[in-house]
Amino acid sequence: MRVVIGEDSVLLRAGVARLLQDAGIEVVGQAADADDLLRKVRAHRPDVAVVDIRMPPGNADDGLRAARAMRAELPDIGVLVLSQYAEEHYVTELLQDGAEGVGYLLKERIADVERFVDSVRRVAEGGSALDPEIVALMMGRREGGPLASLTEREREVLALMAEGRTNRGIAGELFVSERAVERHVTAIFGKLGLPAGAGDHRRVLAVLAYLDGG
Amino acid sequence: MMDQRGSIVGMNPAAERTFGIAEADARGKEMAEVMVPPTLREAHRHGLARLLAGGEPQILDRRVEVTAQRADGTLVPVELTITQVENGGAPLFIGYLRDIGDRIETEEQLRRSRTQLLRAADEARRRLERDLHDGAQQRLVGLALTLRLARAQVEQDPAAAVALLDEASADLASATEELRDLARGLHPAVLTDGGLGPAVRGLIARLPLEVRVDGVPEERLPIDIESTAYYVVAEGLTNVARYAGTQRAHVAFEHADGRLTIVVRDHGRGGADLDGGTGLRGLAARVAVHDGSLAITSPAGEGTTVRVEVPCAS
Repeated sequence: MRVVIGEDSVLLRAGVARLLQDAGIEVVGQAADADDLLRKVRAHRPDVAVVDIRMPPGNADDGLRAARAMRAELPDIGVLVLSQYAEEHYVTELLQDGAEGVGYLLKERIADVERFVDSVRRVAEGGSALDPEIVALMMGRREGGPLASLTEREREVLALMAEGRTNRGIAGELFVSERAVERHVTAIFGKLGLPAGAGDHRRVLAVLAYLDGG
Repeated sequence: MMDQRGSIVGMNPAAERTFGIAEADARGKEMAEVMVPPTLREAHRHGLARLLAGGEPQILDRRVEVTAQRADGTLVPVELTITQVENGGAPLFIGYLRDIGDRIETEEQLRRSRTQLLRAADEARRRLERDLHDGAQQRLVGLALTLRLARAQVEQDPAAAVALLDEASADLASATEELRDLARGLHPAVLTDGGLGPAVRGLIARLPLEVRVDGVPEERLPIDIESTAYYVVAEGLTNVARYAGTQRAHVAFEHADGRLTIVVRDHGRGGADLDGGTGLRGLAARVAVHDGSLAITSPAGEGTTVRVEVPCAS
């Protein structure tokens, strides 16, 4: 797997590069600003770009805008945005053109190396990775509706689905069988009135659209 | 107009209005008795005598601000220019004056709102210092200790060292989270990047309140107006969460006819006023900078309404 990193902090850039290399992922390019990032992504065509949201030249949400430009221009390349902001707004912007091959994680998640690497792989393979804190914010906002009819366990499963986890991932996280997860998923989709039978990638979007109030 | 003996010899209608006295009643009386406050009379008489005795003129042909007295004894700040003219050998003094009471009051208001802004900024700094000191800073000190302990255990008791390192990781995660919340409270980046709508929705998602929001402007407004509007909502809702004794609130925006109106309302216990907290007073000063207005209605038992209006080009 090949990665390009866009991050203006030298320390973090080197840190992320090393984490990924140690996990056997090839870092083919590193950029310190959004323009250089786009150039290197176009040149190297990596499987995934790991992008800091706040970067030069504008030092505003330049990284996010570069990510959206990449999605429009090179939809096969996954984009994982690292951010210091737990804000739905940025996620909504990022997911405007679908949830396949997209991720948004708080920066501190890189400290949990195993999970971080797992997220990078998921996004590279066309899956998604959404920060648990963002998912919690979204679920909190939908309090009181049909969400209230979910059991505690079903809520956990819903949150992990929204994060972009696969059934296998969810099963591992909750120490239950994949079969059990499938049963929970069916129950959740029934209670929320969502179309059943979607694959891992597509169901994230259905869940997020639901949580987003759609 | 005053002659060399200090008597009034004439006044125009504007002066009649300022002093609340008719020219017919004033003529012939000593100007000092009619128009100068008692505490300043001696100085006035002394100055006139000195000038007539050939002394160097001190206030002639200059604009000075003095306090004058009306016929009813009330005082009025005026801007005064006195010129001296010769009238057949005898000097005559003409005073041109302008009532500057309004200007002084405006200046006073300006000074007050500046002071309030300063106080609000100082208070915010103090709060920030406390939050940093009690929160992240404490955690980092604790973290340094935990790491030292872990270091000491590495060889004798690796299992204990691992437990300590896990503890350190957890502390670090908490410190990061606190710093993130603190930064957002100071100024949410999403306000700059996305505007009022996303920032207000992000705020509400974090509050333990059920909030209905109407009419939030999705278009971008001048950045200082967006900030003020955001802080009005943040302060208003924080007060609801803290003091109102209710979990429901309503935020309504209206942007029309060059004005932005923001109303934050709850049906809680009421009884709030501007003197209740530094937060609202700081906001009032902030709103005043935009030539806007902030009003609080909060009858006990009937909830609180904070209403802010600021000029804002459409």
